[in-house]
Amino acid sequence: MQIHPLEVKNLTKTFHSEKFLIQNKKSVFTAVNDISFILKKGEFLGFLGPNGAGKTTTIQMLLNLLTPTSGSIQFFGKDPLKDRSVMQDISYASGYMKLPSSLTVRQALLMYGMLYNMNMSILKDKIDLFLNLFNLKHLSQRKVTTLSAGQTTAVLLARAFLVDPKIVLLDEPTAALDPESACRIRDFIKTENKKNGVSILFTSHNMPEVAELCDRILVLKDGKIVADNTPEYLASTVSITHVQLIIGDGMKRTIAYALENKLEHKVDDRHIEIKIDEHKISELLSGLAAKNVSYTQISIEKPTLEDYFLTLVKNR
Amino acid sequence: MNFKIKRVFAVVMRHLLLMKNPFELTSHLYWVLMDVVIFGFLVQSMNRQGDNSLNVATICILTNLAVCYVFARGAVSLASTLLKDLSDLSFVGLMATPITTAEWIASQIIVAAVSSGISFLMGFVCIGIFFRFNVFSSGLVLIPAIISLLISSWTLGIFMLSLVIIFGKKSSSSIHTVPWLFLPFSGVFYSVSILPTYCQKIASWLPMFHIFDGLTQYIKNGQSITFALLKSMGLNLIYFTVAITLFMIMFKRRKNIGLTRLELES
Repeated sequence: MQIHPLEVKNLTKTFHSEKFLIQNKKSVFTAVNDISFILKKGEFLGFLGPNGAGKTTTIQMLLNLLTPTSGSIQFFGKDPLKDRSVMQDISYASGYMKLPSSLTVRQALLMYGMLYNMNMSILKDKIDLFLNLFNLKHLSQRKVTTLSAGQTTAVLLARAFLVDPKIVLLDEPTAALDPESACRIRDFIKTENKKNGVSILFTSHNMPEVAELCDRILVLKDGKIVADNTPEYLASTVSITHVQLIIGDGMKRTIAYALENKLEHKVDDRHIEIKIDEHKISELLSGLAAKNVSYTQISIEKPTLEDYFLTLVKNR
Repeated sequence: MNFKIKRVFAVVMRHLLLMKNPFELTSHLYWVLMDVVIFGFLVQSMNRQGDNSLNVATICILTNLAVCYVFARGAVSLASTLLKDLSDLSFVGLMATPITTAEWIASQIIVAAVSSGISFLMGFVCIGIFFRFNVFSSGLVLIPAIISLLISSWTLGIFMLSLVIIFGKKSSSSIHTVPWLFLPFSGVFYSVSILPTYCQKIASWLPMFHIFDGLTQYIKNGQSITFALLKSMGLNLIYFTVAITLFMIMFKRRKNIGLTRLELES
């Protein structure tokens, strides 16, 4: 039997209302409902779903911050509830986490490395390396409480990869970053994944980012996995296309046509983007011709992962 | 066994760096100073002798006061460390690492011991300055007494940790008052024999009472403290086991609801 970095079987979490940690068995809400999946070695697995789908609850159970109601979690064939030492290979970063106050950036990284029982001289060298890599060298003696949201995220990510993890759980890691930093961080995560074979479980609401990074995506909805496939395949299951037109004459008539037919559209000067079912493109073009609309340029874009996600959310 | 000292020291380091804050150190000094000055001079004035030498009652009070903060400060410090992590929103980040519950509790105990040590040192210095009295003049008997009080402080601290696990940050105002609930029955300032009988019965179940009463008897009459120490240690052992068991049960229950919710609850 093959041992995977992470294997989740029939995982379920049911919440009851409670007072002073005493649960009321009558009131029940199932946040995660019988999900099973595998994270392979070196795989970049996306975890998508609308708010309340059960992503964070699942990650909390993986990190042993929340006890599952039923089901099993195994890291490298070991149950973290029974053998905590397996957590040595797992690290975590979230765009919404905080660092312990009173510590400087260097101290925060040192503390984290010590929590992973790293050799002190190796740890100190690696801290210097990561401070350079994440462009944090000039902040190393600054208190973590004085950092901006973007700088804090960079420290959290540096911390997550500092400890030579085999699995990294990343919960919206680039949420607070500017585009340039987000791009640099994405490149770093990709390199760690491809070069060092780190398995990554990744959640984000930034669909282009998920499409760029992930080999495979699990889609959660109402606590259940509703799709498990590549980003390309998931996008192809949606028939929505984006028709881009540069209008020569008749912009007002084009907008009127879109409104009449309840088509989602965006206008920018002479440019209009219309979202439409791919089967209705010919109908759109003949409709515009009937209204004497002339256009100088037309392009049709394939559906994206974002279209898939929006369709999923609309169909709740 | 998966117990790594380095992980314990990582957490200890984080809290010791917090203690470097001058406001934190001032809070250690302030209450010790107030109690030593007020109660020390009060008892001395009430039992004034012809000359300015210290009477036995004042010596008893000063010795008890110096070691009393080992208990009170240690207990508060142990529970406060969790509250600080919860306020910082860094507790979940810590628990998502390989640290075990045993390592985490060990780190809290070390931080509490350091806090007790600082308070004792403050008391020792204040008493030296204001009363020109060395609390160790009673002899090395103070050392086992301090050890027993340290264990009592960890026991109460772990019990208060359970309260924080149940009630979250809402418990912050009350945990600072809990150790003082026990002091009226502990014989720090007066002999418990003046209390009503039922209060004396309560006192006999407190390990701290046996220490303070034993110290007082030792200073006043030269009576051996060994039996009092044994009683105190025995009770400490029972209560420490109960406190740890209660904490483990509450921590498990809290994990059913989620540690993240504990951090986010106001």
